[in-house]
Order: sequence, then structure tokens, then C-alpha cells
Amino acid sequence: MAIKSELVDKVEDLHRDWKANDAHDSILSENGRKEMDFLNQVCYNTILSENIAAKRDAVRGAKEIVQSLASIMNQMQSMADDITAIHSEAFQRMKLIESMSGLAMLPQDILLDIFRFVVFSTSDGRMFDTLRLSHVCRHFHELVLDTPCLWSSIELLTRFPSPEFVALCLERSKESELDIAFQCVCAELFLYDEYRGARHRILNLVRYFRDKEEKYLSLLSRHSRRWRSLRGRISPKSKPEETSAFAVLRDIDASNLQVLELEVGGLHDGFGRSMCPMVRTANSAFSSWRAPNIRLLSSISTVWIPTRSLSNLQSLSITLPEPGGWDVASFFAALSTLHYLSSFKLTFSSYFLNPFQAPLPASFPAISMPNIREFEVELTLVHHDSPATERIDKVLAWVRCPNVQRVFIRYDRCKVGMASASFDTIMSRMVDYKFLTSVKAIFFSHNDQKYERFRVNLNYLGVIKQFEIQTSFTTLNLTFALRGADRYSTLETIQIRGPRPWGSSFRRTFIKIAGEQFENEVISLEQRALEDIVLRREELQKWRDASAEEIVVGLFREKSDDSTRYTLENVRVVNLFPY
Amino acid sequence: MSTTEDKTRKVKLVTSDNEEFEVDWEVATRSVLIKHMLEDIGESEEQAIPLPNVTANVLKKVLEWCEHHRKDPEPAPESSDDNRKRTLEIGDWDAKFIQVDQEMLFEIILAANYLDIKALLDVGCKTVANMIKGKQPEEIRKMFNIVNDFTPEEEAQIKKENEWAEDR
Repeated sequence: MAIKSELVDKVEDLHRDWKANDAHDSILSENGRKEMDFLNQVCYNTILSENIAAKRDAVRGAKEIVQSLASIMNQMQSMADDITAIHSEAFQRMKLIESMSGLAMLPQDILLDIFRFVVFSTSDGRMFDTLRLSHVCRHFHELVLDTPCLWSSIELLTRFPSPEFVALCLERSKESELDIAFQCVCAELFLYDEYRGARHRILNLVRYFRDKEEKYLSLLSRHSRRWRSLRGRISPKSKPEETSAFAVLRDIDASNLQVLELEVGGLHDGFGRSMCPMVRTANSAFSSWRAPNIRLLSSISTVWIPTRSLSNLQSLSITLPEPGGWDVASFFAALSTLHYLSSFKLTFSSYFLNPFQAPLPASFPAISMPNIREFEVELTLVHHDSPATERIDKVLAWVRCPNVQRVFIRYDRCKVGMASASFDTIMSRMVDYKFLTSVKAIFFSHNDQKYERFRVNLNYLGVIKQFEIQTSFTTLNLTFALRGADRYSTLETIQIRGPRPWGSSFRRTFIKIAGEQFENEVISLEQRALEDIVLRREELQKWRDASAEEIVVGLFREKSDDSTRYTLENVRVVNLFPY
Repeated sequence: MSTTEDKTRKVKLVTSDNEEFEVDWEVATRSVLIKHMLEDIGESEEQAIPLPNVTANVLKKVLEWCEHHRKDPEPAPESSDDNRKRTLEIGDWDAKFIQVDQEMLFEIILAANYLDIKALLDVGCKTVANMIKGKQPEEIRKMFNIVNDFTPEEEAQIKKENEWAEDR
């Protein structure tokens, strides 16, 4: 403080001198200016310097704060602009939605339910339905893209889009399980006979899948762990040259695959011994799969059984050429190792060409499949005079399903004599099937076949409860041999269905139940009268006139005080033409 | 499980526009919502059930459906497998019943959803799905008065996707 007051005093002295010399309006002398500068410097250093640094820092800090505030204000302004834009867009969209009908106003879960009905009500082209929905408006687009399962059905059956589209669907299906269906139809189908070295063109088909098959299969195989079901139809390649398309399916991990349906084109005998290189490649690839969770396998025209993958198989359907050459023994031996297999359908069809002529063994030990509960046999286009008839009969004799509960036998366009004899043979082998409660048989012909001596012997059906026959024969005398009523005391219903309406003429013909017993439509039979029930379709016209479309005749056991009576009653009227 | 007493019981329903309907218990309980509400209020028969989301003209239509289907069995719960297999078939009576204008159709769907009548909701959804099925986006827009609000960039993407989907 002393220094400060001394300095101030000195400055005041100088000021006084300056005034005394009357030089206040003159220019300071050189010395005076220097002294003033010196004093200014001293004053600044001694009086102000201790605060100025802090003040400068404070000013600098304040400036920085102002700058950051300006930046924040800019950002807020930008955000406000964005909010205004979003609000404006939302307002516009709300106006749009309000202008629409109730469809866009429905809650999302209902709209999605409608979309599921649209997409999942078809078995071919689901992905195109989904695409169309996504192109209606942005609301639909967002909803469909948020629902991966709508993209999870990849069907390449009749429409073959670019692989980019398949990739798009796979991407949009995200982690959903996939249902895949494809068919490879070749341009020209040749019957290639390597034994004779000749090619016979038998069909001309449009070239579809084949152009893109390798890309499709490659894309699909990348997602194999998501496969839930796979349905594929592969025709043999038209020319006997190697194709690598199916090589991409080697060593597939399809651990979630539950349903596999394959139709591999003919000209092979199963177990990979195919004449066609492409089918050989395909069979070889399929056999390498790891797919332990397949529950249902349907195989058409091949007896490929990848046993390493089928330990959990529950249902098997195999459609084969007549058993002329494939390894029947190995086939049934493989089947008998499938311990969870409870449903087995075996279809023989002369549709499928079978160039193999290896004879069946003369005798073969019966293969027992004790876990089979449902057994189904279908014979298509097998004629009485075909050597196949004998071979089929042998094979069916070898299959034993002692614990089967339901049997379904269908004859499709077979000669009626053959069908009748074959049916009787199959049924007679089931005499000791103690759990067989239901038999259904269909005899179907696309011609107006007449068959007047069709006899069904029910004597072997010791525990049967339900027996159903459906036939398309225009004239049929169906005779049930019911002799020995005590053998079939469990029988509850016999159901006779009318023909499939293949032609309009069938709509006017019906099965009729004839006989004196059938008066008043409710038939009562004494036990001793249960011998032959003859059904004649022409006589049922009166029920047709009464709007009957199907006649179900119930044969019930009715206990009374004095005796056991059987009555045919409960004549129900349901649809005669289920198709 | 319904008792014989339940079947003879009457239920009062009050709509959003204050109209009162008296219906059989068996008819009213086609709606799971009403069924649960009745269980909640117990024996107090006089108490009317308020339905603030349904107007009288829509409820009348819904009750017509419930009356026709009063004896139907309870619908089975859907399995995950069923979810990917659907049919658009509608019974003859239902098809005739649902022949209404679009506004009423959507009102019925909303009411069935609110009242929790699964079978009626399915009839409504199937009807709309049948109207949509197989139609091009433009036809769907026209049918339901939906505005195409895609941006030009989105339209370009749609065009590209359509080209990919073409069978060539």
C-alpha cells in the first residue's frame, strides 16, 4: 500500500508541476512522456497485474461457454426442425390413413391375421402373395417386413423367380423355420437305357427350374438348419450327362427338419443304384444329410432310406414302381430298425417305369413291424395279367404288422377281378391281428366298370368294429359273407360310400341296400339271419329321392333280455360325394 | 361347464349407444369376454353388461351370428403347425351372413375381436382375405380406398423386387 500511495503522490506532483508550468495544453516534454509511460507501466504492473490474468481467464471461459451455448442452440434448432418435419409427415400419414377405409384402421394383430389367411391358404406361391401385400402401402409394408414367418415359405413349383428374389425372401424370413417346396422338371424327358445304349424321348416338358437349380439349391442349403419341411420333385435329367447341381446338398445339417417329401424321378432302383447320373448325385447327396428329427417321410419313386437320419421317424409313405427289381430284403430290414415308426403306407404303381427286371427271391422270411398301428396299401394301375400282381402279393405276404389297428386299402384303376382277389388275400392274412378295429377300402375306376360279384368275407375280422367301402363301380353287387356271426360280434358299423363324382353320370347313381330286411329304412335282423347282405346300388334310388347323399348302415349289437340282436339302424344322411 | 340353469338364464347387454339387449345365456357366452364378465358378477342376474365398444346395430348383427352358432362346440386351440395351414372356406350360412358393406364388415371384425368370439373373427378375416387374395396391389388399394404413400425411392425398390419376382 505504501508503494501505491507513493506512486500516487508522485503522479500528483507531476500533475501539479505540469499545471504550474501552464503547459496543460502543450505537448508533454519528451522526459515527461517517458516518465508518464514509466509510471503507467509501474502502475499497471503493481496495481492491476494481480487481477488481470484471472479476469482474462474468466473472460476466456465466458467466451467458451457462449460458444458452446451457441452450438447447443444450433443443435436444438436442428432437432426442432427435424421434429417439425417428422410431425408434419406423421400428420400427413394420419390424414392419409384417416381417408382410407376400415382395413387400414384395423388393429395390427387383426390385419396380420388377415395377411396370414391370404398367404397360408395357398400351397404354391406364398412368397408372391406376401410380396404383393408389402407393395400396397407403407403401413402394410412395415407390417409384412416385421413378420418373418410370412416370408418363410419358399415354393418353386410353378413359378421360378430370379435367385435374387429367393435371397430376399430368405433374408426377410430372418430366423423363422422354413417350409421349402421345389420341383426340377426337365425340358425333355428321355428314357435312357444304358444296357441298350439307346435314348428314347418320351416327354417334352417346359424347361423351368433347371436353369437356376444350382443357384436355388446353393441359397437354400445355406439355411438348412432352419428347414422345417422340404418337399422336392426331381425328374431325371433329359440327357445322360453329369450334373453338379445336387452336389451343393451334400453333408447338409438339417437338424430341425421334420417333414421330408421327395419324388426322385424314375429309372433307378433305390439305394442310389440309378441309371440317371443326376438322380445318382441327388440320392448320394440326400444320404449324407444329418437330419435326426424327421418325423414324416414321404418318398415317391425311390426307396431311399437314409437310416442314419430317421431314428425318430413316425410316419413313412413310400410309392414305388411295382416291386420288380429293388432290394426288397434290404428295404424291409431297414424299416424294421425304425422303432418309432407307427404309420406305414406302401403304394405300388405301374405309373412309374421300372426297367429293372431282377426277380424277387422265391421265399423270404416275413418282416415283422410290431410298432405299426396304421397300415395302408395302395395299388395303382396294376392289372390282373401283369407279373407285378404276383410280386406285390409276395411282398405284402412278407410284411407283418401284428399290432396294427387301422388298415386302409385302395385300388386305383386296377382290374376289378384283381382288386377283389387281392383284397380278399390281404384281409385273410389279418385273421390273427388282435388289435385291428378299422378297415377302409376304396375301389376306384375312372371307367364305368360293372362288377356284380364282389364278395367281402368278414369272417376273418375277429375284433373289427368299423368296416368302410367306397366304390366307383356303376353297378355293384356287394355281398358281405357274415356266416358265423359269433366271429364278428364286435362289428359296429358298415359304411358304404358312393362313387367319386368323376363324371356327371355318377351323380344319379347310388348304392342301394336290397333285401326284405331293409323295409322302412331301419333294418332289424335276427342273429340267425345274418348270412348274406347283398347291396345293390340301383335299389337305393328311393333314398336318393329323399335327398339322401350317403347311406351309412350301422350294424349294432343290441342286448335284450332273451337274446342278442343285431339291428341295422341309424341311417344317416351325409355327403355321398366327399370330393 | 354350463349348467341347465345357465341355459335358461337371460343376460342383459348394454351397447355404447345405450341400447339394451336381453339374450339367452348360451347365446351371450359365445363371447369369451361376456362369459368372463358373467363369471365375475356371479348370480346377480339383473346387472347389465356394458359393452362400450359396440354399437347397437353391430351388436344386433353379432348376436344374430351367436344365435345361429349357439350349439357349436368350443373352438380347439391352434397349434403352431396350424398357423401355416389355413383355409379360406366359409360355411354357406356364414357366407350369407357376412355379405354386408365394408363398413359393417370391419365393425363386425372389431366387435368380434373385442368380444373375443374367435370363430366370428375368423369369418370376418377370411372374408377380407378372400377379397384380397390374388389381387394386385393397385386393385387392393382401389378396393379398400388405400392411398399409395410410397416415396419415389421406395417405388424404385418395389419395381426392382417385382422384376426379381418375375418368372423368366
